[in-house]
Amino acid sequence: MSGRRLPYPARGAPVAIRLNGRPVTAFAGETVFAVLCHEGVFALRRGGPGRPPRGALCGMGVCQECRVTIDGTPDRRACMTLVAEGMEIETDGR
Amino acid sequence: MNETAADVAIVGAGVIGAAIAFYLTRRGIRPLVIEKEDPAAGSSGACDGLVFLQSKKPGLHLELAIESRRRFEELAQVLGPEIEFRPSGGLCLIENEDELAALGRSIAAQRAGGLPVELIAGEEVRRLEPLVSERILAAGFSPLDAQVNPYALTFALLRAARAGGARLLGGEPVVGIETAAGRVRAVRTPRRRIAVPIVVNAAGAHAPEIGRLAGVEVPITPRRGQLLVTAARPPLLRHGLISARYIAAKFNPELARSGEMGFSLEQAESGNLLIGSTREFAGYDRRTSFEGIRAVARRVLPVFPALASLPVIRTFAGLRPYTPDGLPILGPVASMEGFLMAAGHEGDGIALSAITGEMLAAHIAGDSPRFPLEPFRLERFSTAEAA
Repeated sequence: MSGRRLPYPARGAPVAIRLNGRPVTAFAGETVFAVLCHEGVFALRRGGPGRPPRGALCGMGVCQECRVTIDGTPDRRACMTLVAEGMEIETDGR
Repeated sequence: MNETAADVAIVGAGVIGAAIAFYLTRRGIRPLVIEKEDPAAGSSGACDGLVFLQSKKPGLHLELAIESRRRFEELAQVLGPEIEFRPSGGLCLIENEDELAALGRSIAAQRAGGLPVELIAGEEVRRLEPLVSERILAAGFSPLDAQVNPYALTFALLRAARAGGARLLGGEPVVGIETAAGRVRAVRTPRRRIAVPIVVNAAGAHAPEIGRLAGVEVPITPRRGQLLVTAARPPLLRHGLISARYIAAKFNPELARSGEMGFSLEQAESGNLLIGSTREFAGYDRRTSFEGIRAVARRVLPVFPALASLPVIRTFAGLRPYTPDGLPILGPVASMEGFLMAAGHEGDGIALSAITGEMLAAHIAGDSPRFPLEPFRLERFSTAEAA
């Protein structure tokens, strides 16, 4: 088990990624959004009047609220992107 | 059923209804605004924020727009920074010799009509807007073109009107207009009857439905505009932007159907880019279509190739109230005393909101408006048929 994951026998192979510069172990087949949840990172970016923190709403590619920077590219949807070995994820909701 | 009364009922809380309510309260008249959904739920909340003058036909249309634009500085003072009014200036981008010739003629006529506008060379365009590609030969530039947040403008006008004594009835459709002896007596919603001597039809694309309730035929057709919204970015664009082709398509439905529509583009104060727009006759269908959105994106990218990397985060569509001659329908209706029109602005509702509000308010208060209502009255269509 890692982070907030429930015990689950058919998890994919471990994948080493970095989240805001910190090494994190994810598992093949997980979305970036799933990893962010496991790691307790919910404020993903800031936007709107007063720039309050924003977080994912729909988790299925529609609401555009879970956009994060992945491997240097801004505005990638965390919920629609699978983790990959060496991936660098940056959030801007702090 | 609730019985109530008002001096003036305004049907529709879009930017037009809100502006009329605002200018009425400034004259001490307290209207009741009746809205079937929410303020700005129709076209005023589904459009871009360009207050554009270069897109107006020289003559009456342009004069009306200049008069309206003059009032925006004062609105920005009174309503505050929340309306995000920016006198940014605007560029009308020219892609070929035909457009250059057409815009040259239109600029000469607009200058004669009092609009500060000039033709500038491609190099100068790229100095003003570095993202513009070599495809652009020249542009019309007017310092009077401006930007505003249409949604915020509508709400700010309503807030100010309510502070001045206007009432807003939201979520209630007008389902009946009672008339007797050729004049308006009352309006009905499912929940109440409102005795009122003056009813203003500011229902935008839905103005024909409201007109029918009073036995008035209103020649307005919904014309759908689809827009797309990109992710927010630091300032990339400094002006309101439209393509010269967009102006041509606006006044030539044939051209619009052929797909040669051009585009409009602005960066909102939030940093999001708004890119429009299709001009389609699709009834009251407010959905976006993949084809429509793709067509808009394909038109803007050759001129702004750098935008290709920007993610599109939203798409939306609004129904512009189209009239056969491109001018709004304003003022009293000969066949029904007390029934006033304030609709049919097509894509110009935001730009023309201020002057529309002031003209209707002046008329209702019994003053002669500073800009004459006469050329905008409904009867111009029946006169044209008779002639």
